[in-house]
Parts: sequence; C-alpha cells; structure tokens
Amino acid sequence: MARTANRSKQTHLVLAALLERPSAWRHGYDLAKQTGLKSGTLYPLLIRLTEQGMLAEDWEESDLPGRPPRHVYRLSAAGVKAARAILKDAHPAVAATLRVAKASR
Amino acid sequence: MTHMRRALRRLADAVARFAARVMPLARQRWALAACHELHAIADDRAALRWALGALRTACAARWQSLRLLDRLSVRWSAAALLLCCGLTVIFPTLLTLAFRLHSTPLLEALGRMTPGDDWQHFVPLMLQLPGWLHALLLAAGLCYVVGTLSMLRRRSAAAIAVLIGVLLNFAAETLGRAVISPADVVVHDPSVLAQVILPAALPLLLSLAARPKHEV
Repeated sequence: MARTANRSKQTHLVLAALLERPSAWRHGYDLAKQTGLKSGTLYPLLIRLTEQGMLAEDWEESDLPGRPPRHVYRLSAAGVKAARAILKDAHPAVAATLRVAKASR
Repeated sequence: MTHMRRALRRLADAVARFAARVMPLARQRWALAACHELHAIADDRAALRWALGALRTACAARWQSLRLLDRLSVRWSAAALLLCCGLTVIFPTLLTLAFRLHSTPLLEALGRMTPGDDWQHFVPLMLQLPGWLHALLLAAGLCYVVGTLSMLRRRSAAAIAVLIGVLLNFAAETLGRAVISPADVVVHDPSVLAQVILPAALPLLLSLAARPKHEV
C-alpha cells in the first residue's frame, strides 16, 4: 500500500507556520525557530514540499551590504488549499508546539 | 573566548561550504540557501548546529541521487547477499535439525559448507545448543528474509527488518557463547567483516538507498 505523504508532525508544523501568514515570504531560519525544527529536518521537508508544488521559493536580496541573498518560501495557491485540508485533521500537538515555540522566541 | 567563538564560526562556514559541495547539482540551491542563512544566525553554536544539519541534508540527498537500488542487477545482487546472510544465521539450526532427524544426505550437504567439510566436528556443539537459541536464530533469519523482500520492493522497512535481524543474531551469539562450554566444542571466531562491517553497513545502505518518501 502506498504511504500518504505529508502526514508527519514535522510537516504539519511547517505547513501550520507558513499558513499563519500565507502571503508573506519566510526565511529558513525563521521557520526553524518558529517550528523548533533543526535544519537537517527542515530542509528535506522544504525540498519535498517544493517538489510537490506546495511551496513557492525565491531569493531575497539582503538589506545589509556584503550579505548574500537569502532563500525565501511561501505556500503556493495550491499549497494553501492543500495545507488547510491536511491541517484539518492535524494533531492538536502541532498547534501547541507552535505556541510554545512562539512564546520562547 | 573570542578565539573559541571565531573558531566555531569558521568551522560552521567550512561545514556549510562542504555541504554545498556534497549536494547534488540539481539541488545545489538548497545547500546555498542553508549556507546563506548562517549570516542571519548570531549565536555561533547555533550556526554550527545549522551547518551540520545542512551537511546531513546534503549527504542524504547525495546518497539518494546515487539511486543504488535502481538497477535490477544491483537489487538482485543485494537480495542474494541478504539471503546468504540469512542462511548463515540459520545455518546452526538447519544443521541441528538435520542431525536430530538423522537425515544423512542433508547433513553431508550442509557439512560441505563447514570448515573442513565435516559436520561431525559440530556434534558436541549441536548437542549443547538450547532450543531458545534456535528460536532466536530463526527469528533473525526470518528478519533477513523480510528485509530481502522489502528491499526488492524498495521499502525503507528493509533497513529496519535487517537491523532487527542483526541485533537478534548478535544477541543469539552473545548468549550462546555464555551457555556453551568452550572446552567441548570448537567455535570459529567470525571475521570482522562478518561480525561488524556487514551488519552495520547493510541496514545503513538499505535505509539510504530506499526510494524517497514522496515517490512511494
């Protein structure tokens, strides 16, 4: 039987964080801080969601001189719909984790 | 303290640059993305942790890009290797079963696979092996078979099944040595390759060579 993708708690955390402000571009480190995920977990998720067409990505020039551009992400239109559908059945622990991460920032 | 911080930051930069080199070309921008984020991380330890995570991602992507099990020949070779490991694990049980059933042709056939081609050397050992040890060995062998079938279907469960098989086999060997009196029997010490390298490498390779989640 084929496994259903995007069912992990980590994926739910990322989708919930992105869904808070769906039109805003987000940086990887900000997402990591908000979700409490490490980069080794976050980037494979971002890669997967992008390859599934759920995420849009872009490069943002830094305001500070000499700094390299930063990669930014936001949900695509299809991603917003899919994320809402996925998170409808999400575990309540996802919302709690996001709240704790937000409070500790 | 400043030296330490500077060293940590330099190490983080070096690790992130290395991650960018390891990452397959098609996903290079993701390694660069993680690399560029380092400038936004003020804490040096956090920066190093971030870079190590990026390296982990790059290594996993590189392994997956190798597509080790995509070739049918590689898959079947790996299946043959896994089944050989499974057969080695249940060999003492098979030999003992043939001995208890007085099946001389089977004993002689199995005996030809033993050092010196003589199963009779192992009679004292077969008489000492307790039933629970055979049960453990059979369970380990079954795990290898399940691992082989999962591997042929390119499921990540293959790695878990083989890992359980390796652990059960290790437990059986350790407990077996404790209950067998060494004076009466000849027990050959297995090689480092058979005892350490293969058991550690197989589950790792299988887990890394499994089909990526989104393709399942």
